[in-house]
Amino acid sequence: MNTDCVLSRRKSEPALDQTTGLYGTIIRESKSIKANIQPAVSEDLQKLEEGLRTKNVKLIITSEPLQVLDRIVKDGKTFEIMHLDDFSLQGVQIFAHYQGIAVEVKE
Amino acid sequence: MSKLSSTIDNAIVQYFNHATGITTIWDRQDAIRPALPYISLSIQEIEDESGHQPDVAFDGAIRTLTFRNVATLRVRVFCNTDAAMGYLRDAIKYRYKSAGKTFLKNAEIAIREIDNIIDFSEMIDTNFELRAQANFIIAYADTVTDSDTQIVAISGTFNGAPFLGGSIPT
Repeated sequence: MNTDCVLSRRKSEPALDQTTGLYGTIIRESKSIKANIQPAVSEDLQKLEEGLRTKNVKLIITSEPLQVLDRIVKDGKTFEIMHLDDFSLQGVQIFAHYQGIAVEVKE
Repeated sequence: MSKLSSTIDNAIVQYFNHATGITTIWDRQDAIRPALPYISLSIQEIEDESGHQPDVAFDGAIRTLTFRNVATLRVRVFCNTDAAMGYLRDAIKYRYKSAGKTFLKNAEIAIREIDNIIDFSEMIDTNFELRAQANFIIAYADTVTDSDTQIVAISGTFNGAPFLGGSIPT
């Protein structure tokens, strides 16, 4: 079932300060999308790097084009897409979708 | 939040940037890698210089504590030419050069290599990425100003007999 959530995407890569060696603030842009958010099963976890597998991981399915490192905000929790499968060219257009495996990030 | 202190953090970046002339960043930031070649820095360890109390300057109720610390800095070079180890050699040699010595004096830090330079080049996709790593020790001091309520300064006139037959020096 599709639910409302917020997609937050990096607008541009942060600028590097050559004096401090630090990157500037990441600027993001957000929009509301509909997505199907499910708990990830062990098969999905296999696609992540080992250190991420014990975190809170969700499978996110949406018709909205996603990118790796996009963030999905739902019920006050933020999930970052670490693995993305693109099914947008899959057969009939109504089945076109993106499937991301997202890990909860705490800020 | 700074790693050691914002002044010293910046000085460390500047030291490696001046010594090698290539982009220098702190490790583990949430951003894409810069273009090769670049240097990535990370602090591995910070310790008080063992066995030392902080130096105390006491002014009435205000104390200034000076801590002498050493930090272990891991320096990694990522590049696509054979110069990876050369950049670290440059970083080591810079501290003996006049420009490097002046820089360190003004920045109030000391730097010294503690390990050999290690090669850890790897095949990335179909190309070799030349990498090298060395550890350095950074010595620096930081101070804390503290209003001390445990030690109270007293004042008054000494009203005892002069000891050992002499007089109290004024």
